[in-house]
Amino acid sequence: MLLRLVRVSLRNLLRRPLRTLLVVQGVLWGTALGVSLPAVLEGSRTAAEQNAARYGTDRILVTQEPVPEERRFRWEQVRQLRRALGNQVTAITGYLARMPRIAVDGKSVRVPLLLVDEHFFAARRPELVRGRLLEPDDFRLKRPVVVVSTDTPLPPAWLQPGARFELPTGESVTVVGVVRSAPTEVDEFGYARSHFLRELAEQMEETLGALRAPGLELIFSPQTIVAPRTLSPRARPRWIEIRCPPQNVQSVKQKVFLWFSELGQQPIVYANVLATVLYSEAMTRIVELNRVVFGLAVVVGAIVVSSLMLLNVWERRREIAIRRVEGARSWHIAVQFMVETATVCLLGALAGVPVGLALAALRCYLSPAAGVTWTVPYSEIAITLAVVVFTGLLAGLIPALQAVRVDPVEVLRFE
Amino acid sequence: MGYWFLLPRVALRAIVRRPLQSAVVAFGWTAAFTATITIMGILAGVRYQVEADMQAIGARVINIHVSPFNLVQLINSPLRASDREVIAGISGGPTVPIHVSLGVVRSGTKQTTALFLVTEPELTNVLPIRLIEGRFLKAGDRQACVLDEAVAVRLFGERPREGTPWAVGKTVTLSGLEVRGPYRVVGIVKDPFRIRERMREMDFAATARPRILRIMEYEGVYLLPNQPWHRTAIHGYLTRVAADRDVFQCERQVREALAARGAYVWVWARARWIERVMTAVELSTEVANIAWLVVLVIATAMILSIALVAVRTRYVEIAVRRVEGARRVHIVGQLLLENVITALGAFLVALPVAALAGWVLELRYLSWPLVFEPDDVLTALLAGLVASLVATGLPAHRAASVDPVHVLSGRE
Repeated sequence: MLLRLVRVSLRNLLRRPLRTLLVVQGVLWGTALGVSLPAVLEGSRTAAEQNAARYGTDRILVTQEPVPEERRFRWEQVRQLRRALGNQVTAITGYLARMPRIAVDGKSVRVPLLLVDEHFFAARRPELVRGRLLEPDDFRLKRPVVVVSTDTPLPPAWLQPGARFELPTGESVTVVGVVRSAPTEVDEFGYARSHFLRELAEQMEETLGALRAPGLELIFSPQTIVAPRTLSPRARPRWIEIRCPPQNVQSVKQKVFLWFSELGQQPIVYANVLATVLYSEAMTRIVELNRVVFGLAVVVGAIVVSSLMLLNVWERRREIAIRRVEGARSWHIAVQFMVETATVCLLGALAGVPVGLALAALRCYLSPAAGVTWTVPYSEIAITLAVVVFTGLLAGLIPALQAVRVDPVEVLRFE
Repeated sequence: MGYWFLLPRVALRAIVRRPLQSAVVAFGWTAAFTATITIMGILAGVRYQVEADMQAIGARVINIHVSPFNLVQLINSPLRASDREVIAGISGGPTVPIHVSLGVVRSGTKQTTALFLVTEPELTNVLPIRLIEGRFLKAGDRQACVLDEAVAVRLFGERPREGTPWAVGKTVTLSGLEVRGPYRVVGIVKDPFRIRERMREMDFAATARPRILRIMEYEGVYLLPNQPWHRTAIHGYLTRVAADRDVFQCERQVREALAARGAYVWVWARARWIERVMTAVELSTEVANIAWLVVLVIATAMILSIALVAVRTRYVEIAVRRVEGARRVHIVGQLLLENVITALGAFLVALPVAALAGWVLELRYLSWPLVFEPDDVLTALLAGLVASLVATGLPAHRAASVDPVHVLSGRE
């Protein structure tokens, strides 16, 4: 019975395609509005948490403005910071970068050299290709060992565990492992290096007065040699890299900034823009505002659709009267109009979902921040569809009651 | 001619005679106008607020300071106390030296990072500083400080209503490398950047800004120097260019004068930065204008659908008018006029509704008030009227094309 009514409703709607299309598009945009933002938020939060290493959403990078030697970071500070932050973070490492010239077959090659503490690989998590990573004993026994990257511009024979070569200091080091470091897709703020709006992001960083600390390119190079800091005992850490769940980034960033500021060490702290924005209070307010606007759009849409159906009842009085004469009961007529209204809303809502997702995809495409992506927010879509269809049914009540009141005798007596 | 003369009255009577139809169309237009005017108000509000904020930081001020990239300059600033006279001579306005460092301010259990800006009382003559409580530093103040509003909010909570004491008179503890100990708060400087009030977290570059550029941040503590300037590292100067001089020319002259004696420091007019920010804001709001256009298009389509149905209920009336001698063009004119009158009425209702929406948005979501510019409101009205003509055009044409014989014989 209900199926027949749906069929009749659909036929009626298809009989006036332009009108149906115009109403459906109104519902469509309302639904798209309800779907679009949750799609981006849910997608980006998932990406930020599940692909944190790729998008850098779990990374905080700390360095300093140029300061005198005595105010530079110290290794024990890295340890103290690790204790202070406790389980809010997953890894903290300190290191410094150099660009020494290494003699290769009579020529000298400049290779980025990172002098790191024992937690470096826990923070960076590169793929081990051959050999092993640095071990606590390497630091304790001050072993002259290094781990090289597969892309390090050294002869292939040197990129094997057991190979030995000399550093400019004259110290001979042994390769103990080879790692593959994925090239970093994002900059220190998490903006994608290859995005077509990258320049715009750089201009924004500059306008906001962000300092581009010297050596940033060096520490993210996929061609590095990694050596224990004990190779250069007097060197101090220049960088502190912290890994933490994306939702902790904002609070950890503030704590670290405060900690070093108090010591007068003039810190410069870089954190991922996506992690900062996604979990901010401002974003909560934006989501709330989006819901309010969606709610208003639904209410306005319901009133318009309801009024439209009311006018429809007047226009179709004769049809209603004939159906009543044919034996249709008043509730059949009422249900038919309610189903028609709900069908229009359902069609609009169903069409609105892909449009909302397309808008979300467009938004992501335009964002230079890496990791801004979208997903199908099933629960939000279900809620949105339910709200729209339920509102449609409610909006159909008044026209349905009006349709029930049509008196066949009154309408058909002039025939 | 007579029919055209009667048209407004006929249209008005038709609107009144069908209250439901008129109400629905008016409701649709009210919603559309409200959304359009509100969006325009938000965008104009952003422009106005940013412009006002930018003026509040001093468009005629020139920043002269050491390079944030230069270790030698940061450790041993090339700026000297004697440069003050040179700079003031070029700018023709007040000039003050500054010394900056980062530190932490505490009050009870609350603490925040802040820029410690060591300067002179004359700073108020250089920057258009507005105090919301107390006074600025004056010569002879001991262990006294002035806080920026953002710092005061973090330490003492939101500002109470006017007249209630807030932070002045309280003691804060400063901890930094160069400044330590208890300081008495003597004044609070109003935050010139109202635009960021609810979006402070969005400033992702805040912790990556070098201290010397933080002077534009207005999140600091103002202090007097403990010792004469010739014994303090001068990190920079702030100077206000006299009204009769050109800011950019002064900027160049200051740069050249300092370079002539080997001090290659950063010299930049705030007006240059302001211009850059304003260009970005103008561009963004221009692009965002597409939002109200979309709203109008959607509303037009919805009202077109209503008009298509509504006009069918009036075929008998239209047929009678045609029989009475009305021509097609008269019918089209009447229907268009009806919708235009309804849209005009809706526009008048939408104005206070948009103002109310603006008030709610400002109360909960935005950091700036909505601005309803006459130009924007007029644009909304004209765009809405054009949209109303578009929305009625097709239904009016259809209505005017009905055959009176068919309709009145009951076949239509």
